[in-house]
Formats: sequence, structure tokens, C-alpha cells
Amino acid sequence: MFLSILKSIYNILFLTLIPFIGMSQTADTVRIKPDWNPSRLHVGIDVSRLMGTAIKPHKSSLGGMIDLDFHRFLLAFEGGVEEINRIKTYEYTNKGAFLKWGIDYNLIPSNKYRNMISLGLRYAKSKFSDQLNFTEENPWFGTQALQFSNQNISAHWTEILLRLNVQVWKNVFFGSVLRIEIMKNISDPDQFIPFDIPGWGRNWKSGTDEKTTNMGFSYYLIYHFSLREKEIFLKKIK
Amino acid sequence: MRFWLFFLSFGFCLFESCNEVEDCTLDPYENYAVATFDLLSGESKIIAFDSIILEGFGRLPGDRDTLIGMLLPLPVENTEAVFHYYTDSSLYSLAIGYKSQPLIYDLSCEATIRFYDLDTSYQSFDSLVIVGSEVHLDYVPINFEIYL
Repeated sequence: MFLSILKSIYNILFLTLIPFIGMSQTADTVRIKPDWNPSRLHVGIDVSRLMGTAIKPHKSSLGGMIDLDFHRFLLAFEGGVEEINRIKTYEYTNKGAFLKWGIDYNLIPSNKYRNMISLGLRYAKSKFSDQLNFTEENPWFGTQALQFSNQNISAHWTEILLRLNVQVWKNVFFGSVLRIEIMKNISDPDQFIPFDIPGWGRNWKSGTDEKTTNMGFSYYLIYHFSLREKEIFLKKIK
Repeated sequence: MRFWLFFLSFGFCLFESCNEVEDCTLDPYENYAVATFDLLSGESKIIAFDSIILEGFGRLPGDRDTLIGMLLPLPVENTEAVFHYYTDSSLYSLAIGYKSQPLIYDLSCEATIRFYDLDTSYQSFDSLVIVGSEVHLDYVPINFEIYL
């Protein structure tokens, strides 16, 4: 239900932005020969992770992305490191790294500003360790100091992405990504199901259930490296 | 400029709106299993034990109370708890096997332990029925029905 509302909101935003991004397009179509030689390299830093690190004292995270175009497709890699240290009535620490790779499909390759709306698919893998310490008041056994940990466990999942890149200044672009994370699998945790997974987010839903799907939203500041001149067809590609 | 502000704040609000708030008093997990004593004769007789011993920990407090049911504390560091019930004339034993796992019901709540896969590896009562194999006050408030 919540997921569908979010999707609807994003769809509205998506439709609102199309007139801004696709202003240069015309209604005519033309058949062009696919150009599979890479022409540009995007290197970006995850601004939302930097903002999260600045705002949230329990979280420190760094992420980046890189992609290379092949015709209308992009070969994309994302990666990052994350450290969480929640100190409340319990202390939970989680430290690890993640890597995601996959393909994006550019929906507006004719945009003269090199703006981009793309759909993508990612395979993601995360490796991490976590630990939970807390004390429990027990009427029979007294106060017990308990410690649980998982060492070097891994998780993998699949992501479906909607990306939006908008030029802000010359070769600098601002990108936003909406990602739906599905098909998560965690390899045998030693002592407990992890509460967080680097790259995935909160693994434990409020209440009692493990999250089987997740949704993420992130911003990237991207620099565009031009590898060669590539003609932009200002007409729709058939 | 307004567009960018809207765009940035939209994502931030979206991100923050995912944070749910949970009432910690609804946490259904406890560190004990619950057993009720049902007499085969059908009489509403109250059971009184002279003492109840949990192996490795000793005598449980409150064990001399008259009982129609009782709480069975489950040590988190073990996977089995063995209880011995002494009366004037007899001794009953009950060995409970279980798995445990820590969890945080909500980030704002205290960490707790979930006990599940409760089973009996040995019991010397007349009969015993496992009603609920997980300690979860919402699902099944009673785990064992013991018949004497």
C-alpha cells in the first residue's frame, strides 16, 4: 500500500519533469545506427549518504557511482561503506561495504543537455559484521549482560531503479535515484538476524518481521567525462 | 530555484516518512514460557509444589505458591531448560528445548529476546500438550498444558 503510494508520487514527479527535460525533442522519428562505442563516463558521489552522515550522529557512510554508456545502455557500478553505531538502551554496531552493478536504459538519449531518465536493474552484494550488546533485567536470573555478534556475513539482492540526471552546470549533473530493493538473501547469520544491511538499509521492520522488500531514494552529484564527441540526434530514435 | 528546493525536499520527506513509530508496550516478547496445570480428574484442584528447581540455577523463587499455572524462565545462554517439581510424594521433571534470538521491536524500544521452536525432550507428567511453540503474548499466551 505504502509502496504503491510512493510509486504514484514518483510517477507524478516523473511526469512533471518530462516537459523540462525533453524540451528539445521533436515529434519526428528517425532510424539511426546504434553507436556502441562508449562516449561518456559518469563519476558521482552519493550526496544523500554525506547528508545522512552530517545529520545522523549514529551513522557514517560514503558512497559513489560510475557508469559508462553503450548506445542507449549504461554499464553502472555503485559502491560504498557504511558504519552504524546506535547507542540507546542497547548498543548496536554494524560495519560493512556494498557493491552494486547492472545496466541502465536511457529513455531520452536525444536530450541536448545530456539529461537522462533511465530505468535500471542492479545486482547488489553486501559484506558486513554486526554486534548487539544489551542488559536484561530478569526476575529469576538478575541483571544479565548479553552480547551477540555476526562476523563476515553477506547479503545479496536485486534492485529496480528509476534514475533522473539533470545538468546543473557544464559537466556537473545532479542525479536522483528511486530504487526498489527485492529478492534479498542473507547468508546464515551466526547469532541473530541483522538489523541493518549496508546498501540495503533497515532490515528489521518495526514490530517483529524481517523486511523482504525495501525502497531507497538517493541523490548523486555527478561529473560527466566526455570520452569522445557523440552526435546527439534531436529527433526521436526509432 | 524553487524547482530544486521542491525536488530536494521531496526526497528528504519521502525518506523521513518511512520512519514508523512503534509503541514499545506492545512488545509481545518475554523471557519465560507459560505452563498451565490441568487435572485429568476435571476437579478444580489447586496444585502446590514444595519446590521447583531449574537445573544449573537452583530453586526458583515463589515456588511454594499454589499454582494453576506457572512461568518457566528460559536462560538465554542455553538451548535447554530442565525443571524438577517436588511435591510431598513425587517428583516430576520437564526438559524444554528452545532456540533464542535477540531483536529490537522498534529502534526506540529496549532490545529483547525471542524464544521459539519450544519443544519437550523429556517430561514425567501424565501428559503434556505443546499449545504454542513460541513465546509470544499476542499469538498464544500459553505454551504448555500439563496434565496431572
